[in-house]
Amino acid sequence: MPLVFSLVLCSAAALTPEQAARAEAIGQNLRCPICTGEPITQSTNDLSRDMMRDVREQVAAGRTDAEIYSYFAARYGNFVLLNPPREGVGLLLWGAPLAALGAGGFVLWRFLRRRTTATPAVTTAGEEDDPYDPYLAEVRRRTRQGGEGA
Amino acid sequence: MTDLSPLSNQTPTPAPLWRRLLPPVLAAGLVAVLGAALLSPSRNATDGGPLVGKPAPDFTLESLDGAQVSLAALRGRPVVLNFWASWCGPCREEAPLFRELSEQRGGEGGLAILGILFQENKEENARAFIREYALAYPNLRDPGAKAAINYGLTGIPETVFIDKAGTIRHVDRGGLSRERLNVGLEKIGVKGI
Amino acid sequence: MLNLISFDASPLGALGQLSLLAALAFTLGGTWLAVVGGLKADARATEAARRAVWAVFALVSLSTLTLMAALLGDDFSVRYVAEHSMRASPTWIKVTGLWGALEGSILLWAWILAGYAFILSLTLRRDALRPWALAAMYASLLFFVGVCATVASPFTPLAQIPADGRGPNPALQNHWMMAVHPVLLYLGFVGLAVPFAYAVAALVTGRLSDHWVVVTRRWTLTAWAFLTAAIVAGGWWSYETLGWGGYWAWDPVENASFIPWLLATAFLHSIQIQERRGLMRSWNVWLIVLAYASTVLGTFLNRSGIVQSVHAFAGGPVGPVFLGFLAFLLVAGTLLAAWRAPHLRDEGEPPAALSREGAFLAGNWLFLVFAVMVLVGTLFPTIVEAVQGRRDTSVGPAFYNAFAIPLGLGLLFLMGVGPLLPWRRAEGEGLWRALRPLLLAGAGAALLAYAFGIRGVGVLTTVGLAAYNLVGLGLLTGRALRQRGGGFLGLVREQPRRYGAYLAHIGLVVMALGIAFSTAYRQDAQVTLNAGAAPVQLLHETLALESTRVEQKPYGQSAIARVQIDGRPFEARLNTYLQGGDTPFPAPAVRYGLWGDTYLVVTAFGEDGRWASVRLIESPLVSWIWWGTALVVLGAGLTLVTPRRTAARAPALRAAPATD
Repeated sequence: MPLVFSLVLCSAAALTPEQAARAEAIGQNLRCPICTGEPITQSTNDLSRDMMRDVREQVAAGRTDAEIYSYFAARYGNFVLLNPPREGVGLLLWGAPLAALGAGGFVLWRFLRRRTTATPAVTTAGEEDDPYDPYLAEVRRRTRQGGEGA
Repeated sequence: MTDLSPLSNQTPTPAPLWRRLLPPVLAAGLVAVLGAALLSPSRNATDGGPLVGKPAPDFTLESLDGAQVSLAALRGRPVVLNFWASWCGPCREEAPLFRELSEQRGGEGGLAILGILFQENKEENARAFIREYALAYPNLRDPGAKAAINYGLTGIPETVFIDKAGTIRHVDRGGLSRERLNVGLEKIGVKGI
Repeated sequence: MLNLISFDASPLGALGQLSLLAALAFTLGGTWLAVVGGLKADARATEAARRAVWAVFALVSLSTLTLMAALLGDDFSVRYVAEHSMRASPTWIKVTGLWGALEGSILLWAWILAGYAFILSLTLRRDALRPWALAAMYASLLFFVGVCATVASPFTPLAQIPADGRGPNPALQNHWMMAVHPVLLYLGFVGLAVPFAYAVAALVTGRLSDHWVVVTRRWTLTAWAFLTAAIVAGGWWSYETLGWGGYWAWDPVENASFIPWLLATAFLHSIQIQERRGLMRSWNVWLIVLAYASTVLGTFLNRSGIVQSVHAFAGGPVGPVFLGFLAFLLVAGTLLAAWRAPHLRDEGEPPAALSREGAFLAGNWLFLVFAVMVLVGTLFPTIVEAVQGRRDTSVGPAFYNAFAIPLGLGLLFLMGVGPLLPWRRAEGEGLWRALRPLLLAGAGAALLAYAFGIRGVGVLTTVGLAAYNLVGLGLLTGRALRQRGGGFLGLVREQPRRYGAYLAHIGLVVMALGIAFSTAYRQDAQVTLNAGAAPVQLLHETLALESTRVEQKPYGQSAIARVQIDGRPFEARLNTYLQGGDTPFPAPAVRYGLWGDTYLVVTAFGEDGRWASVRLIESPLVSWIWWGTALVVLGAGLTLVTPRRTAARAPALRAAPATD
């Protein structure tokens, strides 16, 4: 893409700071259609700049976030939405980490609950504070086990 | 890989077979999907897009000759919109096709062809391009890429085929060949060239 | 049939290719010997396999050196040099050319793998694990040396020898970090092959000695430290070259390096449960298998071009080959683990929830969920495309941040609790007593931050958790100092592992603060400056364009804007390279500061150099990320130091506080 020598930056409608922040936040979630995976706020090419200006104009015109997103999605497809909608296929995406959290938590809970007998809360301070010696630990473990087994 | 079942494998009785087989099955599934994605080429490289079947967004733009051109005024005629720029190589390759198309199918009441400039940094270059390929149809300035964004442009060249009723029937991305041009023309009821 | 060698056309190419083929032959022989040694418990076969590693390492080294010599000597009869190097490049670019393109990077990978295998062959004990660990290492070597010697050989002859090469990828010429980041990344990725080999050996033999625990922990820690440094170095590269003032964009290739990191971090904690308590054996083996498989998955994503990324290599014939290896590793690895892991029985009963084990396991849980989240986000568009036939989904930072922030904060919380808890079991009341000062410190810090005008919930929580962590570590260290007497250095020397871990934790806290502040309070503004015009006020600075100039280099050109920002000169560049055509590669001018960076990128120049469009970014605490990483890596290094023995060991039983 060649450099384009235009002074378009200041031409956008004047926005209040809140509106500017909103436009920025929306731009973060719109993918530059001609780059590899960059939002239009990051990439420096002209199309991104024009799209960003378009976003600012729509914000100034009082359109909601959802309206602006669907405006771009209707033209570029869902591909352009970096914040994938939480509906349809998107539910699978958004649900997967939650499912992992739930399933993992359940398994962990069951595992930790499996203790049959409560071990007395004796902590050997020596074991805590000494530099760790695997050999010694193994000997301790063996003797302890032997003791319990007997 | 969400499976945490090995945690529960500590019991003297091993976990049931299905649970032990879950990770390998998940792994195999993952590999299968990756394989499918790797071996099947992306199918929307040259056509489609969300605008197909929708009414073509209207625009009123100024041509390089200074005339105002609006899409609404062309209602009732099939329209071919070509987004291009002089610095784009494939645009050069397809330009003779458009010249031929406008010569054979253009004219009063027939097919309307419009060029829209995209990120043209020097209008002089665009004029030279038009002269070089003797393009006789209007080529429009698109300040701020408004029309380009409205048509969901992802790169040039891109050609939009609009039927008589003003509905987009086909979008071609990337340089046109005669065959690909005819595919689009056929969809808007224009005989191929 | 591939045409692999031509002696007439390229002596160097023939030498490199021959040594690769010989290395492949030794690898094949070694694999066979190792498997025989394992199956028949034949010590001689195992010994032969061990020695074959030396030959493989020597031969792969020879071919790597050959390629390096060809790159430095501009020998364009070697295909790789002709395709990816050129005379005009400065020497450091020629050196980085070794990993600047696909074939060379795979050769480097094979070389590092052979190097690790060599070190492994020298340190392996004579036990039942030895042949199988070697065999697993050979399996990895077989793939990488095989790919190198055949489908992705850098040495295959050229039909015609060009006068000059085509030159390197322009994105790689833009910053010296490209000399560092890939090598660190490979050292980290490939380092995980060794614990993987040990895990396979453990699965095959059903044995896990304490030696196993110590060795895998050390290797994983080494790989982990490299991986940490590599990921952050990659972030620094992005910061310094991509021109938007960010360092992490949840790009698929970035994610691909992050998943192994998450799994390795989980492993480094849960292996300690095995070390101390003899628990979680099969779980640890699982983690290692998954971590190594995820490195190959990452490489596959990077090399095959099935994900869209700024960092991806172009797709090529190696995509299917890598997929095959990935399939083999993932399916065979998980099958082996599913079949054999139940045989790795734990001694003793499962840990209690309120114990250090419990905290580590909770951390493991969050790390795994994190890894799953990143994996799903990375692959989701690809999966949708495979199912629907159209690329119609994107997953961007909004998705990742929605989960990464709470998960990261949860991990920060656990990171403070873990060191407080004793092994085995804690009393709820004692824990609460120990936790109270930390929570108070955290709440105090958050309130203080609030008073200073910070309002973001994420940032406030990060500040609170940072104070909580630091106070916790400080109290623990203080208590140890009081109990033991003597200086801090003596303490560290006696227990490098503990204080190394503390240091790494401090580093992570520093990084977390850097990430939180630089993300939340980054400011960005653009303006067009006219040369010699009156200064312009932008963000908190005054900008004036002093001059513009163009520097011609043999490999491209730089357009430079010299801008005075508050009286200090910044020279931001737009570089173009011969190979990149018109595509500009920004090289921002960054002034690093302890409290924040000032970052200037030039986005466009006027044709006559009378004006320049610039983007000014101010982000606070970015450099804390780099310094935090240095602490993390230093801490990881410290944990590997052998402790100095105390003269007499104190008797083991003493009245114990529930904490520490």
